Amino acid sequence: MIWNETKECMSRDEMQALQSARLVKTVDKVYHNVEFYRKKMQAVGLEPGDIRGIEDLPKLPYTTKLDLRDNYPFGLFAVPMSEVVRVHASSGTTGKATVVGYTRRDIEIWSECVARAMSQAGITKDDRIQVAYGYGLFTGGLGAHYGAEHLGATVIPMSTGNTKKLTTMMQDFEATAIACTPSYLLHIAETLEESGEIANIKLKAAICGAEPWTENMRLQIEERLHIKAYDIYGLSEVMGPGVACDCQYHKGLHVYEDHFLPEIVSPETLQPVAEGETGELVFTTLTKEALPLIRYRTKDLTSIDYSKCECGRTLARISRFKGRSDDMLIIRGVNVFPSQIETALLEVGETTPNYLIIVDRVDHQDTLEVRVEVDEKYFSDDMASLDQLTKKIAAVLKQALGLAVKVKLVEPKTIERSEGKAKRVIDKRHLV
Amino acid sequence: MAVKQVSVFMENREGRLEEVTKTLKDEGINITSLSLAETSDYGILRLIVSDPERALTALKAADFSSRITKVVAVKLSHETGSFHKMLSELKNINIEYMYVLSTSEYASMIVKIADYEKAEKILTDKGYTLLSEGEAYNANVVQA
Repeated sequence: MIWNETKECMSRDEMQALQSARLVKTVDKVYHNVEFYRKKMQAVGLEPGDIRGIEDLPKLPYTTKLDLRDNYPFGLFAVPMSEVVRVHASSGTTGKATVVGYTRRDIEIWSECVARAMSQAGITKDDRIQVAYGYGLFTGGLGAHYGAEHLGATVIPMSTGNTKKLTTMMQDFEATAIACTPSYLLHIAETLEESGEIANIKLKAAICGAEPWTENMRLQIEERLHIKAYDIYGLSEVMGPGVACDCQYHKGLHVYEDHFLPEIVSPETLQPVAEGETGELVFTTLTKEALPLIRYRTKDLTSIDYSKCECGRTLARISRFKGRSDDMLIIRGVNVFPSQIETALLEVGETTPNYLIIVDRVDHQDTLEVRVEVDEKYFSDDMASLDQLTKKIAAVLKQALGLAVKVKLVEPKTIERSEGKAKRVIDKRHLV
Repeated sequence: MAVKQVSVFMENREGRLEEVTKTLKDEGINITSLSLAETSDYGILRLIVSDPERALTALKAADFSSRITKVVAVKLSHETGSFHKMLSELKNINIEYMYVLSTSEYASMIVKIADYEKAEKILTDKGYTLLSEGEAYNANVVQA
């Protein structure tokens, strides 16, 4: 089902005209309401009048996560706080959170986008959906929740952390849809298989996101649970889940272009790449009130296809992600930068500055191991103090990342040194 | 009379012990006694050797985190109950770890106690003999 046929199926010309009109308004608004944007535009000699349509987009300067952090917490908001009805936050590169805000209208548009995505997944008002993303500062839980309510479905707000309760309610409430991370869904499938309850479930569709996953994982989920699984994409800076989602043809994720204007640029030259070529995804928000973003670099690598989809939608499609142009890792849905781990280790102080991060997926759950070298300066002939050191590092890392970390002490000089950029991460998950 | 023990941090993986023994062999250092404490990820190898200072230098050169720790070596007779008797003298003192250094004539217990001066006093007052450094380091060297 197509939730908003007018917007999702309009011709390319109509869409570009709509985007142009909205871009002009957005640029005018940020210029007059956000000092950061005004200064950035002035620095390159731009005035709002210079932006007459989407063809002028390349003239505008980029925005990065660093800019959000530098203006922590509310510096980039374009409306007074009295207009902001909600904030969310995600972890930043150096411990400080990236804070995002929403007006009442922003929440409505977000809910509409999620409702569109859920409709693509065949979910309707007759469905009962378990939302098993974390509720709280993370955008996943509340984002999916509001979208499902907007759609009119019956929402079961599970949040995360209790698989037994989730599988019991899945059966007792006859849930027909679920929204969660793909790795968690595989874990749920396994739990249901082990208990022999898999035959009792009425699940039809899953809408999964918040972490990278492969086509193979999608097929595995479909086969094991006898459901259809869909890939939803989003990032809190731009809005949250529901920036794009794939349809039943699984030939890319439809971007809700009337609200989020996508560009694909080369991460090296920052020049736009040709249609179909891989580059970094950049978004300009077209309707956001509280936190409009101009040319925000997502660091996600993908390509774009503007051709009409078999499903009837004319919305551009981005391909499954091909990696990141920075070193951010997504572990159990949580953004982790190696620099956060480095900072935390420096804070502990009792190790060498050499560390290695090993990310793996065991029983469909991401694992994070941090290996640190035991310097002879800190080596005491005492198991208890080594054990304490391990626990102390694990506690500091957990505090910094919001994730449980396995800390492994290793011998000095066993972590590879390199002349240039040290290899700090081994990701064994093979997600791209 | 404290004795110098060499402690080595080791990852719990194949081949590491062999690397330590090779380093010591190449330096011509004899191992008199040893013990190994382990967790799933790492362990501590504790050694009484013929020349602890030289062993430490060689191990550090081979990139092992290692250090000298002071322990006492208490001489015991090869007699039933002698170990128990020694422990009853020390029952109010926390022993961190211990292991055996044995020769054909006598046994001795290598004991790590945080307050080794106090332990030393108790033991010598009770008439125990503590091995000297020379005795401990060369306790079981086979004379050619």
